[in-house]
Amino acid sequence: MNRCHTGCIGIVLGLLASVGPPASVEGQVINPIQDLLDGGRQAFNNLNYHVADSIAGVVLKLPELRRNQRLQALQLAAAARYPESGADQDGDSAMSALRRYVRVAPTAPIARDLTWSGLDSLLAEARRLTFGASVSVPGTSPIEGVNGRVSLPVAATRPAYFVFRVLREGTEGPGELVDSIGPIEHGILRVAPVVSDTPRFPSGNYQLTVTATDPTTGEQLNHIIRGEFVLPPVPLREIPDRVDPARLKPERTPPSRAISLISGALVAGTVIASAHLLRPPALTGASVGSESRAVPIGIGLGVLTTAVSWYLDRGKTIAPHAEANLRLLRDFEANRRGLLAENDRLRLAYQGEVRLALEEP
Amino acid sequence: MIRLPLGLVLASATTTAAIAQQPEPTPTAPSQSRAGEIRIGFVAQSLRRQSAFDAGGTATGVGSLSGFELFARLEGVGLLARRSTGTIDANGHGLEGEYLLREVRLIIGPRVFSIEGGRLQRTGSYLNVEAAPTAWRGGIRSQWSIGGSGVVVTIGAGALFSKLDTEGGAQFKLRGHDLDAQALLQAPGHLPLYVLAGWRYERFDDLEASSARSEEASGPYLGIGVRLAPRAILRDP
Repeated sequence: MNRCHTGCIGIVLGLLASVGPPASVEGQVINPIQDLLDGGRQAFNNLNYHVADSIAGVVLKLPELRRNQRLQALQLAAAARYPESGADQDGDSAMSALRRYVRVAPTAPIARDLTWSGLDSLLAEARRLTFGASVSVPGTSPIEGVNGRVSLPVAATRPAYFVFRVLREGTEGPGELVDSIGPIEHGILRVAPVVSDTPRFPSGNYQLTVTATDPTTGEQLNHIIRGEFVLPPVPLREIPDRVDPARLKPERTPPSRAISLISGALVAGTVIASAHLLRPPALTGASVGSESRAVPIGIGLGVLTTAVSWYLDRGKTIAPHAEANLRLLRDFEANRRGLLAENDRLRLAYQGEVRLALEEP
Repeated sequence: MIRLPLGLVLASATTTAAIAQQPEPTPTAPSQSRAGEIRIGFVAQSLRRQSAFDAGGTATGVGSLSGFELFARLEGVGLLARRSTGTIDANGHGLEGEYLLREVRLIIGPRVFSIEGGRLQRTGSYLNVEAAPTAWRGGIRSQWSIGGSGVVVTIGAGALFSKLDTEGGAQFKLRGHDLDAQALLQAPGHLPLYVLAGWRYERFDDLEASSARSEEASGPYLGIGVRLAPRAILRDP
C-alpha cells in the first residue's frame, strides 16, 4: 500500500463502493468480497500490481473474511508484491504476506496463475522461516457403528506436536484430551465418539481445540472448531451374567445321617449276634468259648461303616434336578449368545453424527 | 432261639434298606439305567474253626484263606461265586491242613431284599481225615447304599441243607446256618475300584462224610477289586 499511488486508491475505493449487502441478480447470489478478489486478480493479470496489492490489503482488513478468502487475498498480495518483472518486486513485503499465508496454510501452494518460480522459491523460504499449522475439518462426519471415528488431518511447516481437546460449551476448563500426536509434519488426529458402548460425549455443542506446538521454539498455534455432536445412546439389550440362583434346583439330597448310624449299628449287631446266638449246642455244651474277636471286630466294623459313610456322604444326586439345571444353564447360555449377537448387530447399526466447522481466526 | 434274633436282624436290615432306597424327591424317574453290576475281586479271610466231634471232644483251628469272589447282577437276577483256600493250624487237634471253600449262589429279587439259593462245599481235615461235605443253601440278603457316600452295606443269612435219599424220596434236612455282614466302599464314585470289609459266620451240624458233629467257622474278611456298574448304581446301588 505504501507504494500505491493516489490513482490506485481511487480505483480501490471505486471497487469498494460496489461492495455492499449481497444482491441477487436473476437468482444468483453475488458475493462482494469474492468480486473484490476477482477484481484484484484481474488487475494483477493486467499487470496493475499496485492496484492488485491495494485490493488485497483492503480485503484483508474486512472483519467478515472467510478462511479461503483470506488465503486468496494473501496469495494475491504476495504475487502482486513479487511479480515476475523485476522492477515491481518487493521481496520483504511479499515475504511478509507469505509468512502470514503459511502460518494458516502451511502446505497449500499458490494459485498457478499467480505464481512463478521466483515466488515459489520465496514461498519455500517463508515455510522454512515460519511455524505454521493447519487442520482440515471434514464438515459433517457420520458415525456408523460404535467404532466410528472422526478424523482431522493436520499439517505443519515443521515437525510439531498436535494436541486435540474437546470442551462442552458452557463448561470451564481446558477440555478433555482426546488425542495427541507428534512431532510430525503431517498426521491425523482422531476421536472416538463412542467408547465402551457409551457415547463419550453426550449430544450437544462442543468446542474442539487443536493446538500445534513447535518443539524448537515452543510457539503454539490454536485452531478452534465448533462442533455439534449428535450421539444417541447405544440401544443395547441387557445381558444377564449368571442364572438366577432361585431358579436352580438342589442337585443333591441331604446326607443320610440316620441311615449311616443305623447301618453301622446293624453291621455291628449282626457280627456280634452271629458269634453268640447261632452257636451249636455241641460246642456251647462243651464249654467252648465263642469267637472272641466278634465283639471288637463287630464294633470296629460298625464304627467304620458309620464313620466312612458319614464323612463321604454329600447326599444322593437328584438326576432330574441336575438335568433340569443343565437344561436351564444351556438355555441361559443360548439366550445369552443370542443377546450378544443382537448387541453386536446393534453396535454395527448404531448411527450418530458429528458436525464440525473451523472457527475463523 | 436261633430264628428269633436272625429274624430281627434281617427285618431291621430290610427296613433300613427300604428306607435307604426311598425314591428321591424328584418329579421324574432317573434317566440312567440302574440295571447291571459286575464285580470281581480278591478276598482274604482270617478263619477260626471250632468243631465238636461224634467221638467226643472239641478242637479249634485258625488259619487264613484267600481267593476270589465274583458277583454279577442284572435287575432282579444275580450270581455269586467265591472260592478261597488256605491252611488251618490246629496245634495237633486234628483240624490241621488245607481248607477249601467253594460256593455258588443264584440271587433273585431286588437289591433291597432278595432270595438266594445255591450250593457250597467245605473241604478240610476232620480228626486228620480229609472230608468234603457239601450242602444246599437257601437264604435272603438285603443290600442298601448310605446316601451318596459310596458305602454299600449287605447283610445276609442262610440255612444249610443236605439232601437225603430215603425210601419216600429225596428229603432236605437242615444242617446249619450262616450270617454275613459286609460294608463295601467304592469311592470316588467314578473309579471302578472297591474295597470291602465284612464278617462271616457259618455253623454246620452232623456234617456229612465227616466225623464232626458240629462245627462253626467264622472270621473277618477283606476284599478289593473292580466293580463295573452304571454311574447311578456306583453311588446308589
